[in-house]
Amino acid sequence: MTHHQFGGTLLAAALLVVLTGCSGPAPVSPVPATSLPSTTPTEPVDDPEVIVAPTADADSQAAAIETAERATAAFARPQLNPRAWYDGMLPYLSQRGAEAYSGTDPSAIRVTAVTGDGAVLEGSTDVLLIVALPTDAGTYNITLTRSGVDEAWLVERIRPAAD
Amino acid sequence: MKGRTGAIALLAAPLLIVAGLLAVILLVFVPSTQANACGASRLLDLADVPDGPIAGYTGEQLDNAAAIMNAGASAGFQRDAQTIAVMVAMAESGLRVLEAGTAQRPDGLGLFLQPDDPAWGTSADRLDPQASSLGFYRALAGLGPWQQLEPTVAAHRIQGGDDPFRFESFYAPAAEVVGTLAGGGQVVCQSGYLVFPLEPGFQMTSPYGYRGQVVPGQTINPWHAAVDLQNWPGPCGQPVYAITAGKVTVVAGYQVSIKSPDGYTVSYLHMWLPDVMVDVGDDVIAGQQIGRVGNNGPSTGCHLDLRVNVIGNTNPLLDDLPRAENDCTNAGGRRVCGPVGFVHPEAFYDAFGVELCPADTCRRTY
Repeated sequence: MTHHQFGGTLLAAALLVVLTGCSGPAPVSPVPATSLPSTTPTEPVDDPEVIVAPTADADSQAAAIETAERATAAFARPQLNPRAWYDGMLPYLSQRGAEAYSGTDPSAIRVTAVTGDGAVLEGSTDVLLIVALPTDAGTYNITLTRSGVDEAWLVERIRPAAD
Repeated sequence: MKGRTGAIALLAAPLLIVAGLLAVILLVFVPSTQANACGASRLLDLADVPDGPIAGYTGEQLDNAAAIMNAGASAGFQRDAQTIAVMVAMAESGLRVLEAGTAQRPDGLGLFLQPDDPAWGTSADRLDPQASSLGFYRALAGLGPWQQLEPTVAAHRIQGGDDPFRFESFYAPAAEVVGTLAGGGQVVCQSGYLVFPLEPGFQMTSPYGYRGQVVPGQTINPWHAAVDLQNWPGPCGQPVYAITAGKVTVVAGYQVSIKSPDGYTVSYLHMWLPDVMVDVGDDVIAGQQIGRVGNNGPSTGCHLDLRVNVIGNTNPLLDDLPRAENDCTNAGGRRVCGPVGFVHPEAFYDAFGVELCPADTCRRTY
């Protein structure tokens, strides 16, 4: 074994100790673990810093609103038979949405028309956002998701907003 | 040395493959075995039903829940089906035998608001807890392999209506009521829409709120918008589970965030990134392992920092939770408030009728 290899092995071993620092025998008395403020000496910091998820860009949000409006228009057809209603919904639905709305009897749907423009709710992200949409049965919240920023938005939920 | 290691690797390879196959098989069967692990049903003595409250339900409501459970047990249904039946009765009638319909279901009657249709029996049947429950269980069995459906979706297919998700918020309280009435508690039952982030038996090592841990000479916000949890002993490397379903929105630094389809966001802090098992854009379900407990970031030992932010929330159950930015303290002449949008994680669980840190299983070390 050369010195170089030996050094590498030591480094690897040291890293292993650092990475699995808790794998040794457990201490006998509990040591409460807490989030501590960062030890950066001068800058004020929150404890700890929480990263806010990125939001979708304006074009992408506009695309989400358009999908929400189209999906809700397809949703708002209580006069259709269940098969035709579901077929109309499917192009807009995520896999979870498709499972949830399968077997729905559209005759119970109160919405018959979208009556205004949709707006993205605060706290939106680039992979999940909620569009609030005015309808003739009150405001509905439409949850849209996508698996990546290059994918199309798909609808997961269309729910009446709480009163 | 090298040769021997190679031989061991060769020997180990088939074992690993077998272990991998077993893991796959176990994963595939998790939903049903988990439901069964929640408990078999048994007939309850109605005289022993406590007055409550359990998850906010009391008296007559708990008697009705017990009647629903007994009808299921008598017909051979297990606790997973009992929980769905109680969940539906909570959503439809508040666990009361309603003698008139509602605006949404004008011809509905009884615990399940069953409509005026021969399939649900006579009016007397629909008003009878036992008979109406049996009707519900028959309909559940009639769905086919209902265990493969989300409980709220199974309920929606039976009850109808325009919102497949309207039962979701009632699952956790239903599981709490069913688990408590059946005995043995619900804590070991990691299923449904709201679960614990660590294996039950964890301890809480730091509370939510202003902690006053200002390091001298620094202007550090000492507001802890989280609870710290750890399994003990051996907290490092323990599995971390998503507490609710949603989309992974952040995997960076020492943080994983998952945004619910209802809009709120749950963040899980201090995992080492190589231990994180999900990527941004992934869908996760409640109870899915997302990583392992670590000590990454500003942290003094392996633990999970769990925090909930309600910015953009649409679930009315969470509307009234006090927000951290309105929770202010005067600290040495300086007004210190919590960060915007965060709520107490224990209050979040409470809103669904679940106790995050019950006295009998969760020690508070602070």
